[in-house]
Amino acid sequence: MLRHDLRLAALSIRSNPFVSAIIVAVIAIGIATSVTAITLYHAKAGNPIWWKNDVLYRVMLDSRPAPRGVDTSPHSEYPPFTLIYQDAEVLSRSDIPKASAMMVVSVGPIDLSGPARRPLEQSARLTTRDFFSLFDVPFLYGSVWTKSDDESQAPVVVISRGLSERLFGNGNTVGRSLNFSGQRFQVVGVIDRWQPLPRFYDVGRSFSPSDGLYIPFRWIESLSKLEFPGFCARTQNSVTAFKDLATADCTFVNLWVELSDTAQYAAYSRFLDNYAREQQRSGRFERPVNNRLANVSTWLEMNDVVGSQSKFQAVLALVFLAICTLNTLGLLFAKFMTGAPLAGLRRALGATRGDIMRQHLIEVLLLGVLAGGVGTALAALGLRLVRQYFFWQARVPDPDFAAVAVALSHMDARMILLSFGLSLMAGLMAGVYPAWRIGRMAPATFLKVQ
Amino acid sequence: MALRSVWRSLWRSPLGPLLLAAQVALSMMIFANVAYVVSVRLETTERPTGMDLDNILWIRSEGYGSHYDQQRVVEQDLAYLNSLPGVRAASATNAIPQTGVGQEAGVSQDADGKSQRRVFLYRMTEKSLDTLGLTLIRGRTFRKETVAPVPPDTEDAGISFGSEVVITEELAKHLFGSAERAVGKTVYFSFAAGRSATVVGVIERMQTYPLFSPGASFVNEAVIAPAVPPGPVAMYLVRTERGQRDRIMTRILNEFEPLQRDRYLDSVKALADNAAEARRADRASAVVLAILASFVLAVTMLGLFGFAAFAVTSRTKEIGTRRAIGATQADILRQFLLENLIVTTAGAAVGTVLTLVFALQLSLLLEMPRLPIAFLVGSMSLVWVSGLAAALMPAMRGARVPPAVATRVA
Repeated sequence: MLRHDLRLAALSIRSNPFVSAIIVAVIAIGIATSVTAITLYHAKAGNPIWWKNDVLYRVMLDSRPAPRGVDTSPHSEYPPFTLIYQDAEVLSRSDIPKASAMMVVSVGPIDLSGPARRPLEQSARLTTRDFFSLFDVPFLYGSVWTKSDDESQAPVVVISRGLSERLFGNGNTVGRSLNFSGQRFQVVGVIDRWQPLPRFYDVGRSFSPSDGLYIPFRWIESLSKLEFPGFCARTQNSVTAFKDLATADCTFVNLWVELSDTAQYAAYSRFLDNYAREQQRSGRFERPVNNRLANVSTWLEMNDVVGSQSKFQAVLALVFLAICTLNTLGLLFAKFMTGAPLAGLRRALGATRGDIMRQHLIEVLLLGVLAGGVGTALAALGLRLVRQYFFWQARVPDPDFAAVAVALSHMDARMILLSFGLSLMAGLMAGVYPAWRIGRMAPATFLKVQ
Repeated sequence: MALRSVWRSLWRSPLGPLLLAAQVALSMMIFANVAYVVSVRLETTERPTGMDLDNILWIRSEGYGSHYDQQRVVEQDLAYLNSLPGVRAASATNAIPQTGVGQEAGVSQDADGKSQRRVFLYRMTEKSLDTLGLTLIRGRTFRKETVAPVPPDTEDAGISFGSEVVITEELAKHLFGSAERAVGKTVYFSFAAGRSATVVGVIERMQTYPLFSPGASFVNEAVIAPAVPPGPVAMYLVRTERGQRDRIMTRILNEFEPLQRDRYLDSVKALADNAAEARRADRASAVVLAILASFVLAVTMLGLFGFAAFAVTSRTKEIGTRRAIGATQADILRQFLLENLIVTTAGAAVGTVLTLVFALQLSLLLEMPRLPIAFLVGSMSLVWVSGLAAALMPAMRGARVPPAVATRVA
């Protein structure tokens, strides 16, 4: 029965190749546009550490001076996203959280051996050892530095696998040393490929390659230059030198904590509130208490990591798919009506209404599958073009950046499934009514001499 | 009379016309809004920057070690750069336009800091205007003596500059109403209380970054203040004679670093590359959106074409009959075009509502001003015209149906 239906459907498609091709093309273009937009949106909207979404928290305190005039910034209710050094130091010493890590990013040159080679500009994450357990960072060789290294300027470094291979070649490089910002560091650990997207702990560069170097936080006192300037609310000035940042009330330290249950969460909230009130009393904090503990998804939301552009494009593409579906409905209706005499003949020869409807639905599904195939191919092409024209490309291609670009525009099995699913759905939505109508027609209508 | 018969024939099988009207409405909604977004984007990326982008390069170097002396390094570097044949002017700077990296400041016309404008602050040495190729429309540039030397290593290092500044016309208008009224006035900065400077000149325009959104008007509001920026990073802008940029870049790459012991040359880049990079995503997305809009239009025209073609084919006999009892070819043509017009008009009516609703959402999402009425009217006309164009061919075919068809069997 199914084979018979399929054969009829194929015949019908071939008997009217122009209209069939247009139907396939219209659905396929709608699919390609939607799947391209959804893939890009999906890659940006992910939560790369969903399994810890409700235990990881970003810590914020409202340390801003009392407002002067009207604040027109879009989210003036948010406290600063980063902490003042002095506050971060105190908060990070709390033993309520299961783990906590301060972090900032410093940038400087790595000396490569050989006089002819230019220093390699690298950004280093200055952080505390809990960073790696907080974010489930996998180690390839060695391990993180010790607790006592956190308290001192121990000349130790954890490097990424990519940097390790670039500097020293393959193999276990624990024990080797490198020169960063004029300072010698010994490699104690190498982390395996680790590229969360978006990089929720570094939202300024959500879609950049992971850092190459991880150095104990205490080095902030000597490696003066930060990648991102801190903001000094009093002088309205952006500063990158630690000396200037530490002495004034400038916000620049990122603090993440892991609160493993509600009791810990409640205790830590109380602790924050008390701290903020203390600072109010001493006159340091001028605004009402406005602490935030943002879990990963809230944090990504607050920073609008997905970006309104991606949302806009996804919505547009879906509306376009709806237009294509409406169009297909009209086309199918016309197509079925043209083939109505044949259906009438089949009815007269004993086919039931259900048979006719089923046969037309099979035809619709066949068209849907064809459109799905063409649409998927077009979407792959579209994503390729996007990768080529939208994503940042250095003049000298950088393998890490290329990997990120691919990850962001990669059509995985789920997207291919979605592509065919959408295509069949569009086909069905467009086809059910025409198929039903044609099934309901009295055979006599078509057998009459016109 | 004609209208009533058209209406009846449409209403006989309302599904097709209704679907088509829905499609027209959605297309109009997409078309009007996308056209608007594209136009806003192109307005931002293609507007003149006020600078001689093509002939400017910039250098970033970084000092290290305790012997590094920014003041000495900057003086010697500038002497070297300005002596190169083919260089028109070179200045040290704290920020590079078109890269998105810079210093922001709040500026107001009175000491209490009300009516503050958010601006970009460029702290540069005396040849700044010539280096960037900016057009001075009022007053003069700051004097060489006002270029503040590198300040001692304090918190103020990031905000010190001399007492004369040059501002953009856009900022002058916002603060003082016009360029001429700005000259000679004092502006106050929202840094440490009381920091102020005198406006000595106004430049036509300087776009710091091609950013779009009403909240981003600050990208056209800049203050150029005299200072040698603090180290250890030293950045320079260099404007070359036409066509000399690449040659001079190569020369700098080879010669610059060894001029000073305790610094390394971080990068030498063409400003035009940064400008293109800053625009690339917006330009590409404008192209993508334009393609999408044309797809929408094409698919809708296809639908309108198909509708008219189907109507003509399935009503051939009816047309013949009408012709036989006296309808002219023009009557038939009018009949089909009128049908089409009713459908597109119904679509446009619903489309107007949809367009406005969508525009409201969009203005919130993308932080843009509301959709100007011209885009609504424009896309409505486009829907009508393209609808008629799509229906014309099938309608003409219908008009040519001979009256004899009515008399034929089958």
